[in-house]
Amino acid sequence: MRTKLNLRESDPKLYLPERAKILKIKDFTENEKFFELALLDRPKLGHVPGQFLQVSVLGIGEAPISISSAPAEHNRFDMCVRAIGDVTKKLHTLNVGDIVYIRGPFGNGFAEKTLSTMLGKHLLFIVGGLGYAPLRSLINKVVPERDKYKKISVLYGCRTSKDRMYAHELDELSKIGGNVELLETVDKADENWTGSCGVITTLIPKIDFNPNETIAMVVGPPIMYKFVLKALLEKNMPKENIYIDLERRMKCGVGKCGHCQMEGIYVCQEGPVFNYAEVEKNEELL
Amino acid sequence: MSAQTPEFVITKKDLLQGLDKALADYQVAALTKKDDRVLYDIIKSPTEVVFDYQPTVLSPKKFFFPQDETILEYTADGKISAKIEAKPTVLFGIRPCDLNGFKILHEAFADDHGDPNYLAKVEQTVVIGIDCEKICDKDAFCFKVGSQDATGGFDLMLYEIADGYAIEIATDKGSQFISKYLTTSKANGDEITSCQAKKAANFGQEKPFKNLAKLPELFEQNKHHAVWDQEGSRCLSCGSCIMVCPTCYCFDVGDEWQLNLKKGERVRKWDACMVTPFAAVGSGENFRHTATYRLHHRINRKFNFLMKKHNQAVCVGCGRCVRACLADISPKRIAEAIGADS
Amino acid sequence: MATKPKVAFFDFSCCEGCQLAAIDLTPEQLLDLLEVIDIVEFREAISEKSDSYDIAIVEGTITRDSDIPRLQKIRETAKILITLGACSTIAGINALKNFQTKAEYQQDVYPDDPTKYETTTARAVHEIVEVDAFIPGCPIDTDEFVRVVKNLVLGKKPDIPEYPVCVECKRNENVCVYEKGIQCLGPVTRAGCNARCPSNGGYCFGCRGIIPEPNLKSQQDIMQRYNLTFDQMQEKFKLFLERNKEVFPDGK
Repeated sequence: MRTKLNLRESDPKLYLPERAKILKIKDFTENEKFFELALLDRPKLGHVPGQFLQVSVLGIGEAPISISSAPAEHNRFDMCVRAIGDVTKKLHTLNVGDIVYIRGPFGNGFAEKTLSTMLGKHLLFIVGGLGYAPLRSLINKVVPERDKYKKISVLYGCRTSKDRMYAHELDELSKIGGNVELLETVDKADENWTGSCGVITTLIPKIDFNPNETIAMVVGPPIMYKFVLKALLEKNMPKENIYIDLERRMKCGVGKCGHCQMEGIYVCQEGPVFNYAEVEKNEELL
Repeated sequence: MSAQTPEFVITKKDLLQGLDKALADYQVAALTKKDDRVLYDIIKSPTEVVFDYQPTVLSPKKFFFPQDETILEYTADGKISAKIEAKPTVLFGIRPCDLNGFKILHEAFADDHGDPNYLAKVEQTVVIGIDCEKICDKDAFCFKVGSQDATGGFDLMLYEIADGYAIEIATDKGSQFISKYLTTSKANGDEITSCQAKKAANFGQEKPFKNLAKLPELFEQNKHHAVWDQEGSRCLSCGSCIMVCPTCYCFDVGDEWQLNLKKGERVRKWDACMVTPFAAVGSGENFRHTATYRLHHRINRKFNFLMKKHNQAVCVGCGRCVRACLADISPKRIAEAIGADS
Repeated sequence: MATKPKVAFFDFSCCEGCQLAAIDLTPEQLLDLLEVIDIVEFREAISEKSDSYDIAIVEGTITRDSDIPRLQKIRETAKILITLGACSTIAGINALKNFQTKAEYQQDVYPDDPTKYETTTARAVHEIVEVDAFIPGCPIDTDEFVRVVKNLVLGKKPDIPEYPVCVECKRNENVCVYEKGIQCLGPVTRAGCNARCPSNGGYCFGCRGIIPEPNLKSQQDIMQRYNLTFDQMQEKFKLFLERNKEVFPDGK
């Protein structure tokens, strides 16, 4: 039997973005801004933690940006944007009330199936710099439901105290107590910083965890993964218990354009959240 | 391959007349001559068709997936719409390697997240293939990757017989095209079988890689084989191999305002995983920063990563990249180096 | 656009052909361009002079010591400095003289009075002052000029390709000029010209400069395989690339 060029279903809106209005903008650091947006044409985004959007500024282009808020039943969502390319720099010049265009949510995040395996476990978030933006979508989901988990530990490392994102939320997180703890470190301390100083891996020995009963979520700059993974494996953490969230050049978001393909894996489809055991042999990912 | 039974035969004269008739309703692209080049291009008259196949620089994928394509239009006051363009088109005389390429392109663009720009063109296109009786060129290696016969990607397939062609019908679209445009007569039924016997004799001992089915495994085991650096060190990262490839479909997307800043468009254009900036991200990190890594990636797409998805080698052996590569890099030679034939 | 940026054109040693190419626009395009920018100084088209401008577009090679303070003044005044064409971007064909000693080229050009005119090693603009965007080419590509200016006004990167001419040449479905027995610098030369020369019966001279991370070893192997001697090959590289340290590590 011949394979025919039979017509598969076309998605006429595949590359057509929808409107979102900027509701709130806050300066986080010199280079990072917080945006709260509202969808104008749909009741809710319908994402799972860890997914991303393609955000357009018309005439400038499109860039992949993590969704920073927990799944919600309303039309609002958050992003944190580092001004680094044309689109993100332009986003920084926009004002409350301006319209941007989005496609998505895209990618594999922490879906219901993954989340259910976390129940009753110790959740260990290991976050570097801007990595807080994507993981906040999960942290802000699990912290209000903290009774469902054995413990929630957030380890957060930044270059300096000025680079801390969501500073007031971090302060609140540190005050919750009970089974929620926040440990922070900076690479370079200044006069305003009284906490730990050193790379993120220096926080790992400070946490008391049973590797078999713990699920780790690791997000940060590319260089961080190697060291954090090594530290966790030395603590006998099973590879299946480690999730990583990776940044690549996602252009189309739908597994076609090829930019984010690392060996056989399209990060925009199978990632950006990966179970470490499933991708440990992929040399381009790690 | 099991023998196909043709329903119809057509004389060459009737075929040309049919194409002429179709020109009233379709744009017809066929192998043709322009200056010093043989290429697939839009023809105005069937007399322009070149029947004696010579390898072209670009594959006919450009008709489904053009070099540049506007996918979105918008105005400064925020009106935004998808731009999806297609014209009724006949692609005539497409060869088995490129037909297999169409099949792969189709799975890539349409299996999930059906690409509207691509599918609109497929919907409006009638693909008429012509089987190859002999190996077209010294650089072609379709027979090594199981692509000398088309396994799909066409509506009608023509097999050369005395004074004309036997026609295999693959789709309703093909059958409607025959009844509307082609004057045919009934076939005996054994025409394709005899064409294939003749083809088998011409191809002689040129057989598929011994380990064709096992290529993904072999490539997986040979991530660090010396061949990558041997070939990669010569690579110019010029992207030629990708531009000419019938199964490469990576693209880039860019936005552009018109000079008056009142209207703008989003354009996708062919991109190439072999050029240096392809896998670089905003922060400056380049995840495939040497030509060796990039070559490894491209060849693995053909024989490993995507081969698993498409269940066939994603290199169709047309030989265009071999001809285009000034540094003399060949996917066939790389496959052989890691044991495809031993 | 709240206020239009003021744009001034300046030229050093060159033929001023790139200034002409920059305004080789349809009347509509020219009017559109003037909607976006305000041209305050442009020797090839207007006679006004201005000391106040936001974007300086600099054409020509720096070939005299007295050019330097003038260029520095332009740099100090302008918020954005763009080079226009091969002469200012990579020193262009003016740098051919750098293959000779000063005495030799002075003697060659003005045999009767060799020291009459001031001259020194030819240099590109970025060797003297910081450059924000480069528009390469001999001459420039008008569409690319318009795009770069527009992008800078919009706050976008200039978007000059980092891949070589081969990409565009193949997209145009050209038969490779090497197949016709002609040597070409397309594989290592920066694209953006839409492969203008090889698409029109010529070959690539390298006027847009070399791509980042070129494989020059392989380019040289190829040229030798296609029967160029080392000297002939050097001649091909010399025309535009004297200032490129990867091509001529011992250059001035």
